[in-house]
Amino acid sequence: MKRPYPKSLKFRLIVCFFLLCAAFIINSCRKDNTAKQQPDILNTGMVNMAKKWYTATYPEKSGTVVTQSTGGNQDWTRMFSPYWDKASTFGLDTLTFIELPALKKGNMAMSMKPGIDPKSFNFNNSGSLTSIIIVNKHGNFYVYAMTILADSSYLKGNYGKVPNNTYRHRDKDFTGYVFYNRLNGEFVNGWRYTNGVITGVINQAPVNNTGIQIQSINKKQVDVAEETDCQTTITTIYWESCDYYTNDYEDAHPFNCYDYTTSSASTVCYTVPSTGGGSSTQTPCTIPGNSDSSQTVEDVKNIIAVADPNPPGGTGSGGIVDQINNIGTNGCKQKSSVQDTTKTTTPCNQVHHVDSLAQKSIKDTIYNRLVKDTYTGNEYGDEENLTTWPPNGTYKETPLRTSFDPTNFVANFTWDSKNGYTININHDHPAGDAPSPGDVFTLIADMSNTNFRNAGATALNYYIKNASVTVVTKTATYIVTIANYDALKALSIEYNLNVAQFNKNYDETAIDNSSELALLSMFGNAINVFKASPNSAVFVPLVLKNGIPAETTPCP
Amino acid sequence: MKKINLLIICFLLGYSAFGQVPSTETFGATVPKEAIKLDRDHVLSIAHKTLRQSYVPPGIENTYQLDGLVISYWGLSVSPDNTKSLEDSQKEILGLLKRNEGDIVKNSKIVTVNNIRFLVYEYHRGDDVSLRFQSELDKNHKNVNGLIQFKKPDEDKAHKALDDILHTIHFKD
Repeated sequence: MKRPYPKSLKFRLIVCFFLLCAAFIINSCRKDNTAKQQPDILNTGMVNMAKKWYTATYPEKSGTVVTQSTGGNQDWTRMFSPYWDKASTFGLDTLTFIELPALKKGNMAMSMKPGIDPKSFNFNNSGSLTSIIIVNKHGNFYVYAMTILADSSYLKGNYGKVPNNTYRHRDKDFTGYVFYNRLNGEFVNGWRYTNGVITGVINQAPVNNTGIQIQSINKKQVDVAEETDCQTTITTIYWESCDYYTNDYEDAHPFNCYDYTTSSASTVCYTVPSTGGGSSTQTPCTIPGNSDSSQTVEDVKNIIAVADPNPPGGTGSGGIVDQINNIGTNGCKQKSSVQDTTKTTTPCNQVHHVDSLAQKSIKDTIYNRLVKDTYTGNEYGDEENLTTWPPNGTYKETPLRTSFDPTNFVANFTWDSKNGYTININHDHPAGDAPSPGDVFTLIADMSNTNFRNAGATALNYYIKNASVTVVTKTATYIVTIANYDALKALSIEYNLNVAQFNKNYDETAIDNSSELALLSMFGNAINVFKASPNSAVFVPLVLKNGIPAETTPCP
Repeated sequence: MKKINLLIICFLLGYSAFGQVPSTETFGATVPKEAIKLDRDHVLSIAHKTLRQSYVPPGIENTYQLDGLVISYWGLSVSPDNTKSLEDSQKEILGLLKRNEGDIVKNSKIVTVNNIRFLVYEYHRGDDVSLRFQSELDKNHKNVNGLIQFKKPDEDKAHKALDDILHTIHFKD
């Protein structure tokens, strides 16, 4: 009997199979695209939390952004405050963003035109608009000022177009700049646009250029230096700070207005095809211009993958790339010759450096004196600083000193040519306990030093690989280094959320077991711990073996 | 199919065994016979009133309740290269307690009971008092530790219980 369908059934099955495959592929792609998208519904809870945090962190102030009392540091909160009622929230790559217009006490505009008398600067026609971006990452808030600076070629006299451009959206014909700054004025990163497309990456010019400068206070003329290096230019910020009566709730009647400028040097590097001999592509993942003889031109060229500037779900591009707080740095990749901060540095990769630092401290009798200092009951300490940057193998020790505190030594981290570049902090523990959480997190906290942050990726990578904290006790010397920067950073966030609880957890474990076990178990693979006999420069890794702190066999 | 089931069972047994750490008590200690042993869940519920949820007290397998006192003891091993004396430990622990705001040390001393030296120290946080002991190391680099938790009015009872326990502690050969 003839079977009616076998051939066509087989054919149908094959067709169905391919249709299913196609559907699978299409659906997978759709899921990939939507996996990072989050609905654009106002997250009022998040906004309220952010408001509470902001208000506590930045109490209301007025006055000029730069004052002598701030030591010349900038405080943009004197000018800007978030317009909470106009907040919008959205999610990008697991982070929550809050975008808010900035209310201003006075006026502010960025400009590529230096030399204009600030008193006569036309803020309304500046093409500059600053808003506030708040990012929530792992429960912590980070705030930035985003400034859109539009070219006249895009505006064509229509200054109302500037607000069309938001964090997630650029007009298709937008030509201009987008700058991200912290509220202390520090530049984070920026983008150059031409006709809606990113054509340049903006980094802060190297420290040995101009940095952030106060160009004029009480002066009419702005003196500006220009240098060219991958087109280093000066961005001038025109400020008008005003006073307001306390009952002027709308800030509608300013008086005593005061005009001045500040400026910062930016390096705008334009993306060019790499032909093997031309200029390298700069990315916001690196800061150009810092000389590092160990980094070859090939290394610079191979620092790849601009942080993904295209937030999924939006037509805009050019987001925040904050290397300090790891926001927007997902796309930043480093060549393996430049330290990958996600990798773990094994103890034996650091032990020789650790021994060398210890030898220097022993030669300068630091260890010997610190052991004696334990009998005073107070913590004494000093810093071990590189004498030059880039390092040439020479160090200098700062004078030993004390705050007359049995549980705390206040270190003085420096990163400059005059005082040196702090790479190790020595101090004693009179009670004989192993390094405390506070000691370990010094390694992270010190990275917020302004000079260090301005020093760039090379300094960052060197520090991560080589920085240490040394604790001298009567019975042993401990050295702690960074094994996994990301892991330690994450722990530091947890620590800073509730220092007392973190310390309590540590101390409970230490009292029930030992401080060595508390240190090793609570920090895990985030740190390497080395131990030596008193006044010895021969360190061996201290690890947990079967749950017990034990010294391993010495490294080769 | 039978072979597969057998393999699965063996795997599960092995996995379960891997997760267990055999007890290696090298000491003997006896609590007063009126003391009632607490099970793990009970111990954790008491501990987690003040400690982080992930913390497992080391004395969880030997925790007892006696007339308002919570008594626990446990053994610890140290690495052979650990040369800290009881005096060193005393200093370290007092340093740690001093760092904790709210922990007030009442006293600490080193006593000898049945030829075993013990560091004994007492501190309180509010009305909650902790009376702890830590023995010297035996020849196998192990020691005995203990904790009696109580409220201030029960201090005399706690000291009596401590004295009783210390007199029962001995290292096994």
